Amino acid sequence: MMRIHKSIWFVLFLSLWELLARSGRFSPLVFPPLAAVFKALFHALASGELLQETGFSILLILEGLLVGAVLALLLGMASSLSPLLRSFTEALAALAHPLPGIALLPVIILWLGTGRASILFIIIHSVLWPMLLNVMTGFRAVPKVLAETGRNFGVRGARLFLEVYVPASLPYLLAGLRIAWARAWRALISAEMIFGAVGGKGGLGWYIFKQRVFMDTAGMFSALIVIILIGILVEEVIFERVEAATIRKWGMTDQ
Amino acid sequence: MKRGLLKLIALIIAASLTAAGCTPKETSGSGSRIAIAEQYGLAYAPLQIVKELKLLEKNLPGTVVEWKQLGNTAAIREAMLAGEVDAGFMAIPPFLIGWDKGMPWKIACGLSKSPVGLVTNREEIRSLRDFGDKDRIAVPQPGSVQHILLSMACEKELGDPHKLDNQLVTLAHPEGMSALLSGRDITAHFTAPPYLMKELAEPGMHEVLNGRQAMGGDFTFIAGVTTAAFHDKDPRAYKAFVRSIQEAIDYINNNREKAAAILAEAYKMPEAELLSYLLMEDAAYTTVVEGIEPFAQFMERNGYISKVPGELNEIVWEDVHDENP
Amino acid sequence: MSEKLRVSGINKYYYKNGERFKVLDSISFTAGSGEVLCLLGPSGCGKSTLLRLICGLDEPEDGLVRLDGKAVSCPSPAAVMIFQEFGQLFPWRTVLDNVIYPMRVNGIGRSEAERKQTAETWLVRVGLEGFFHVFPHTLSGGMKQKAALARALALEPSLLLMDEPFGSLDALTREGLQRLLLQIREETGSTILFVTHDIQEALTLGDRILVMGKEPGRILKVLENSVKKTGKRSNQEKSALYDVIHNLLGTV
Repeated sequence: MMRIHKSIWFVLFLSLWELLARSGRFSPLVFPPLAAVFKALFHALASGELLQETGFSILLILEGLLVGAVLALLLGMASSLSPLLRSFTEALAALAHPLPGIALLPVIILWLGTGRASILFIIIHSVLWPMLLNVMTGFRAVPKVLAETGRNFGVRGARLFLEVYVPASLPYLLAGLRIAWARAWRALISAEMIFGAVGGKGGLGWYIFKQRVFMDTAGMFSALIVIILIGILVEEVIFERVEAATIRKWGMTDQ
Repeated sequence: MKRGLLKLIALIIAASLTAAGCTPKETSGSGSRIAIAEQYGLAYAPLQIVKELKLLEKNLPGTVVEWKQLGNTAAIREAMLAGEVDAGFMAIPPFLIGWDKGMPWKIACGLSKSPVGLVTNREEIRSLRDFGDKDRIAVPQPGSVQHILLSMACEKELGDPHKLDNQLVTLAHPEGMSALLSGRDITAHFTAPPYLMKELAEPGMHEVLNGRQAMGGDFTFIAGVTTAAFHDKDPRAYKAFVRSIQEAIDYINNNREKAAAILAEAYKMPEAELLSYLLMEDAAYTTVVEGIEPFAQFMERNGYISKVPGELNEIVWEDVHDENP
Repeated sequence: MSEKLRVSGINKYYYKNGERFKVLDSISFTAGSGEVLCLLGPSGCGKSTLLRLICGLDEPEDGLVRLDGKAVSCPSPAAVMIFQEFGQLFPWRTVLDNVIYPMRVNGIGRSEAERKQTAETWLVRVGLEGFFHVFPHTLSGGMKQKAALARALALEPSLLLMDEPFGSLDALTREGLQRLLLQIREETGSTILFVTHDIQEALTLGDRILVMGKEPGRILKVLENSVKKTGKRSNQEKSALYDVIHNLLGTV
């Protein structure tokens, strides 16, 4: 039912768009008709350029998510071992968390230059802190009885973390990953829009910027459509499925 | 429930259509407001004079002048398309890209010629041939005058205008400069004053290529462009605008010291340094427009635009001085 | 009956706002092999704390816990605890896997297949056939406690620690589980330390009953549970013992 309602709005929104585009009140440079947008999308996909740029962005964000999430887990584990480490990571997170990755860009250019490494750095920054905060909250929220049962069974050290703490705090970890994904995806697109190789690959953000510079409004919107589709795919399909296959199946959602 | 939903939808559509009726904004039709967009750099110096001496207010009494400094040409173009800005200042290549895509605008005047150059921090690079695969060259954006000039030079010297395209990195001037000076991956930067002089003043930096070599002659670096709406609806304001630019340029050319004092303040630079810039051979302020044709032909040949202007009046308003008609 | 557990001279404190409170005061007792010993006392008498010390989850300030002659310093599957909370099963593992996992961790059983077989046998024994492959959140409270019992038994612990495991169940289910526990004890000869605040439960399960008082937690009396031992269903005798305990607790 929810889905049907959503799609009604969707169709309505598209018709409104077309109506406005055809009203003649706007230059097609401002409001390209849907046909032009989909034509641009088709051409960009057919030429392989848009797919290549999308692949570049996705690969980059996966890499950043992986590194950021693993770092967050390690820091979270370390900080649950000693109060000193914990206050250290908390101080670090409090300093770094409010900084939008993109605001760090001028500094990052100085430190790392302008390549892929810089964008990766921004993604990791966007992932690490929200993820770390959720890891720490999640570990703290692990029911005492589960942790003690694990210890009673002789589960210790890294194994206790990986086999008890991580699954027991999975609702928090997944929530953290959702936030991390959303922040990283936005940071990635913004960072890509700021620099990229003129002829080489620079990701979806860079593709949009190029279309903007060469005033291909329809092409710009076609890349926006790809960004929206990826967002929907990740949030509504991938995260939904992962949650359905784990925490919802395990009855851990109302904890 | 269903009825409520339908009502809501009808309301939204009605509201958006009404709202749509308000845009594009009425601009300056009454002569009460004129919005001008510029970018940062010494090439825009006459605009500072127009501001400081209130030339527009003098030539068009009762007008509110709104100045906007925008980050790049694309932003200026979008603002003009949206009717937010009446006149914008930019280089010829971005102007041509917009014209090619159907932007309703033409050139109203030239503003400046300027030294532009490709600065490198690598001693061994003496010409474009010396750039290796690992070198990265910063330019303000694809399709910018710096990018097109570099491509022109590549075509001349290396036989392929796209030879270095895969090594170009887009960075705004300030970031480009700090990237070049930091000595990391960026090994060269195609830029304009004041960044050009600041970079060349640093040890270990030298110029590989200048704009005149790339173009094979003189060209207008920054030109004034106005929307058709502004030009057609308010000829009085348009004329006042062009006259003010001309007066500012004359002022600089006739009173270099006084101009340098005003500009030093505006650009937060030492007066002597500014004066020496004004006296540089390559720097000139003039309303004459030069170089449209070579730019257009190169850009059309390499697919940056789809056509070259047939008649000059397709791209310039009346009364514009052009050296290569 | 050989000695299984020796608890000697335990003192335990807790600290609140810089002040020290005594939770357990000079606790000493022993449990014989195969015995069911009930720790009975009002809430706040430290009986759960005592169980945690014996499990190795907490450490006493003074005193020693010896299990099979060896001092207990950290938790180990030699003494397995069954908690009152239904949430003690790992929610991300199926019921069967909940039983297999600790066996795997401790290398019990020669192969995964053998472990699976053992686990299944125990689950059948507690009456959970047909629930091997469901996740714990789909089980009722009583079934969860049965699964926890099967999981503990599969580890063949030297001592079973039960911290009011049936405390949150309805009366009927509780009685069923008490009967099940006694039957299994008969079959396995397990030694069980069972914490409760319910006199009836202590009388039903305990071979001996340690009656505890509070502030500080201490042992008031150790009673032989003649009711259970003789197996007589003499209401008179039962109510007499009940009254003895009730009076003991009432003086606290």
